[in-house]
Amino acid sequence: MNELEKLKKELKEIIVRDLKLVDVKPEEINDTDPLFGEGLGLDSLDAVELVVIIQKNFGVQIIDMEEGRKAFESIETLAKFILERQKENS
Amino acid sequence: MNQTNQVAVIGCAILCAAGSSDKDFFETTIAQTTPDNCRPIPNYLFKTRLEYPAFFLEREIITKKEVWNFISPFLERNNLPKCPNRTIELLLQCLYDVLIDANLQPKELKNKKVGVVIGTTVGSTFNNEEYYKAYREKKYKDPIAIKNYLSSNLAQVIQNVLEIKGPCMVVNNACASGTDAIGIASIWVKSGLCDLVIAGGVDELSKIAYLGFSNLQLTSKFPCKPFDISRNGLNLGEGAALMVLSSPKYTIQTKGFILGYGCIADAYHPTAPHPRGEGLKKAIKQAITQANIDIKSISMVNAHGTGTIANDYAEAAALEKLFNDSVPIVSTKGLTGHCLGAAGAIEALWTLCALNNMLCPGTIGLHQKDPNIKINVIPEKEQVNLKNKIGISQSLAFGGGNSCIILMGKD
Amino acid sequence: MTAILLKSILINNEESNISKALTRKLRRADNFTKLCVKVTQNILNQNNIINNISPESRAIILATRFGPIETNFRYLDTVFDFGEEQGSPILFSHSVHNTASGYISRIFNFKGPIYNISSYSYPLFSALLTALELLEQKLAELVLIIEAETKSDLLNQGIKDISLNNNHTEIAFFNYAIAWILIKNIKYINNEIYNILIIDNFKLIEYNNNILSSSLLEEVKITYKDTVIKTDIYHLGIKFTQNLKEIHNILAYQDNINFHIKSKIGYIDGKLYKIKKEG
Repeated sequence: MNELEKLKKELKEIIVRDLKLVDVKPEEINDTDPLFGEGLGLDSLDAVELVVIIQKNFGVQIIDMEEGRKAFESIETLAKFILERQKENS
Repeated sequence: MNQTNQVAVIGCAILCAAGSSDKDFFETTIAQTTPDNCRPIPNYLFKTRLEYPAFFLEREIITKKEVWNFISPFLERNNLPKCPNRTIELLLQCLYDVLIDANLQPKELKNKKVGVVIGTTVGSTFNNEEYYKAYREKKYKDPIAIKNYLSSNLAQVIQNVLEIKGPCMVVNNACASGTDAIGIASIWVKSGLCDLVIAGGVDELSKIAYLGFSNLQLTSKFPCKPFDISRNGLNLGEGAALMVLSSPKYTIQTKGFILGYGCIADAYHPTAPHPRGEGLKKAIKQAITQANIDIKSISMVNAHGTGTIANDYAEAAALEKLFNDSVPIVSTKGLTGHCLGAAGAIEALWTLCALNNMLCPGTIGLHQKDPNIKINVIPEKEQVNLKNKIGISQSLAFGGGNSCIILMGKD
Repeated sequence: MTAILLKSILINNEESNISKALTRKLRRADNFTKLCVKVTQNILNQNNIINNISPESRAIILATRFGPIETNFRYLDTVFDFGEEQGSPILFSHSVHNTASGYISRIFNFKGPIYNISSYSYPLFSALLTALELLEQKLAELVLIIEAETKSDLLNQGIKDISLNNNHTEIAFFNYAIAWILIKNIKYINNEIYNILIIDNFKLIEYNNNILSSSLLEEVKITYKDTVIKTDIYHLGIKFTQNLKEIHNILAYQDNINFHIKSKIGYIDGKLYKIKKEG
């Protein structure tokens, strides 16, 4: 499994655990499903929690929700965003 | 106007970053100078790495001998070496001031039915960080922290200081607590349950609230800009405001009246308001119905106007449907910050001042209105004369509460 | 002041079991919220009255001493463990007193006035006072009153650590929630027996020399008929609610019960009597 795939798997597990998505299994989340609104149905409170989660687990800072909005579109976009940022930071 | 429906305001007191009396605060607003009050957190409040500025008062809230003499019997009776917390200091200083303003001696209260309703958010929580840290680490903790916590129900403190009997309650409705306290007090007066009610709100600038609002990304690194196109969040503040409410038949002097009160929940989301302000619209209509007036007689609205994207849009959406361009809208949070439990009470008192002066000063922090906001929010450096002395002060609570008071100035 | 006391209920459990339908909606909820939602679900399941009342006429008064005290500590845990920028927004938003009632309002569609009040003595009866006024002044047609508390080891330990007057019984707070439904309008009730609660002489809080002792509460007596029931005051809301059940049974045989609740810090006189809608 390459870096991106590993990260996506990890993100799914973290999201299910830390956002307490009790009725969802990590493997049920599709890479390109929308996280907010439709799809997983997360809301704005989950969004700010996700910012903290990303910061805490991956050391990547999200300055504001404008930035966050694009990154949080799906697991795919989020994973790519994190990897990109981590490369920039190092 | 139906006199029996009215509740008289016979005393007012405010403590906030913009002034220590309602006149002070109003004059500061009229002056329309951008205040220097929004600053980094001083060490005497708490230490933090975060850089969001806030509005706060001096280290020592109670400095005058007369006020210490007023509260020291209470401290002695309860074996408290000093006020249990800063919130209580703010409250008791304000209590002293409001009794003076209402021309009431504590001894006059003893044979009356006096109610107490105080709104707060932080003031009801056990916020002693050091105690919790020590508990977590299984180290020694001074039990005085628990004793202080159990002695700090704000309404009970007032009862105890004044040695009065009657209904008493603390309201924890987040940002609408102050408005709701005044609303509930007006309900108690109308019912005959109380001759007088001391009502208002208080909150100190607490580290936990500061961190929490920052984690929720609601705070701004700059002074807030209500309804402005470049607004990006709120600033926290601290303060206290109290009113003494009475049935009109008991009073000689009044500063004004509470005509109506509305309180409706959005039932929408844990932290965001309903985007079209549905609950707020209904709360305003409810207050208007209670006041038995035509909505066209409203001459101004003191909005919640925190300067967050979501709040200002939601509030504007509601107000747009109810009021046309001729009604000035204002927010005062650019001068006080968002004082949470105290906000609604501070703003109600300020609104009464504006109505009595028939003048609505502009919104500090508003330079260029967001073009998506259609209501007539008065920007900084402008002011509007009012057509009469009837106006609204409203609050939107974190979690979906919407509260509205209709006030009328004195004749 | 009168109102029809439709139903009252008490739950007392360590871990609230929520129905499956609500599990997703309560995924972020803390124990305090879950307790309040569960007691609301229980009491609403017992009758259909709520369907006759518009959402804007449904009010909630949620009363507590300490609110979601443990959630506040869970939030502090995230700040201490991960740093100030990494405090959990979900935990912070659930550590404020008005979150639980917000859940109830969203799940059960209550859009009327919602008050979250805190009082160290008599939370339930403080709520009752304003509930009766909301009904009297037609600000609501139905009021849900809840008294709820969660167990906090820190607080229970702290209370032990404070040196207490020997007269105080040792108190520990535990998980419980009480709910009452009150309405004013007789047209909503079905052809059953209900209790009408009349509060005369509601002198709830009298001045007490020492606010700490009024917080730590004292013994009270509830008397009805000629029977004196002694109870610990911090259980007052619970005991009174449990007694309502007994009173309800007794009411089957007689028309009314006078009750008198007295302690050093206040007293309540009232009547409970049954009504049955004719036809």
